[in-house]
Amino acid sequence: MTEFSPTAFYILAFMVVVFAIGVVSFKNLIHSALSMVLCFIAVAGIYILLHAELIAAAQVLIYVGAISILIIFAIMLTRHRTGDLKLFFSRQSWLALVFVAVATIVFTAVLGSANYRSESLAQNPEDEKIAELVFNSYAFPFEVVSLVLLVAIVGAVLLAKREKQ
Amino acid sequence: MAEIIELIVRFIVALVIALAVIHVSGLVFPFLLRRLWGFMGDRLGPNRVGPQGIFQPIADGIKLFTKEDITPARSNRWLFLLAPAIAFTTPMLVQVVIPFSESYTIADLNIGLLYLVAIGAFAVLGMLVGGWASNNKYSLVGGLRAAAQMISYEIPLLLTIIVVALLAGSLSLDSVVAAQEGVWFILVQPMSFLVFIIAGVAELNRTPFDLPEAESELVSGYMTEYSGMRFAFFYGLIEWGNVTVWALTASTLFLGGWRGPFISGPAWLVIKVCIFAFLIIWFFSTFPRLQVDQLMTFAWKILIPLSLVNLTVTAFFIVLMPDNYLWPIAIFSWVIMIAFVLLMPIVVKRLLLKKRLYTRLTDYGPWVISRTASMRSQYYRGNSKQTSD
Repeated sequence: MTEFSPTAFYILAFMVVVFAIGVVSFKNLIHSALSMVLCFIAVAGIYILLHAELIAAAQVLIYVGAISILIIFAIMLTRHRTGDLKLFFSRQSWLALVFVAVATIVFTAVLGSANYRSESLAQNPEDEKIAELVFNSYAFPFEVVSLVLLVAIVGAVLLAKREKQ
Repeated sequence: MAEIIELIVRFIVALVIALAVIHVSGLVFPFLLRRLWGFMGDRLGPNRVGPQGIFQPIADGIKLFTKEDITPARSNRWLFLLAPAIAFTTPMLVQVVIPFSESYTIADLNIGLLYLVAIGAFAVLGMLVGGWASNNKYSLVGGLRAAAQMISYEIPLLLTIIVVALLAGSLSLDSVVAAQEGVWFILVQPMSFLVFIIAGVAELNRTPFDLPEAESELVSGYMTEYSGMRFAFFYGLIEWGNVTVWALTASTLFLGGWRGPFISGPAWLVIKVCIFAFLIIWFFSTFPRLQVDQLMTFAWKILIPLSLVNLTVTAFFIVLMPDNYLWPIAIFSWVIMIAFVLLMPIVVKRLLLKKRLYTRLTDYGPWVISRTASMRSQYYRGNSKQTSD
């Protein structure tokens, strides 16, 4: 599959939207979390469609392998309510609908007016190019981001430990 | 049109081979496990069905096929039925990037190593979902243990894989095999190989890391409620399929993949996989099970720092001597591995001794703990003064 296939994109986009709706509308938290996993996998599929295999693998590794598992883990560990949860049908959903509508309009306006460069990284192996950019041009921001993450991790551990005592 | 037909044919061939690998390992290895386990325990093992009992797996298969497929009444039916299927994706998908011979790789991805790690996530998901959907406390605890353990041991595994990527200079598994034409990476990086073995055994939930299915405390962990063919799926195909796939990965990363003297191609891969399976069976019949805290301590305080040091030094040498970096890396790795093997029993013994002392001393109040050192000497002398006050 060398060319961008619109059919495949529509199938994947449909999956993303359906599972994303599933995340907020399932009444069981575990079902929502699993729906989110499928949503992430479909997003990874879109990345593959765009020849961004490295990002697709990172997406599956981080979002499916780490974040979703941790969320499911946390849901299972906490004694969640046995009855059905009403996330989608709660009183706040009308307010949320307004915000979502505004956000959608803004995003559509911004993304629609953006001028995308048609040259893609598909011609050459993109992982090498990404590595070059991250470790040469953007080495300093990259290090800063890692430092911020490290501080966040240490802070989280500290908070968790303090709460225990 | 011809292209599409070729694609379909290749897909079917790949599917059949991948299924065959998993099913053969699911049939052969459990039987070998029971026979070798018996041999190592000075017992007979299953030897009644056929000569030396070789038809035992078939008899087991027929039995499991004809058993009633039970779904617990208060379980989450759909997820309960789905969990084995989710877990089954891991051993299937990993085989996509494994080079089986010089000409046969299903897809040589340029991100092969990253793909391997990413796919490993589905195994955890299957166990978690299966354990939760069973609506049984043993299953749930088993699933949670599996998730905690596999996430912890994925980090050292990932760090060793990065070392291999550094040595090969590529993430594609075909290039990793090609890079080992001169010397296998096990000789260059024995420390990484050791960490890969340990973390891999933990990822596979095999003894001594089989806490998720610890039969003496959790019945069978996340697969307690499964019966019939679904149990066979979890116990035979997925567990041993994962072992085979892990062995294939380890052979590809460290033992030169399909390369080997005299005979070439998949035959060497089969031999290497059998060696790894034997290793797993050997561990199974030799080691006692770890405790949860020991498991986590070992991963976070010993394996991860060690593999980080190993990774840093490897990268350092590659940058410092781009022409001739194999020798310094090999020397460093051998030294650190021998030190690890020699010092590990001493460190573990001290840790255990301290822990035993702690559990005894905590009965007398927290002030005692700060004086562990002096208490230890008293403990050794058999002095029981503390009990009098």
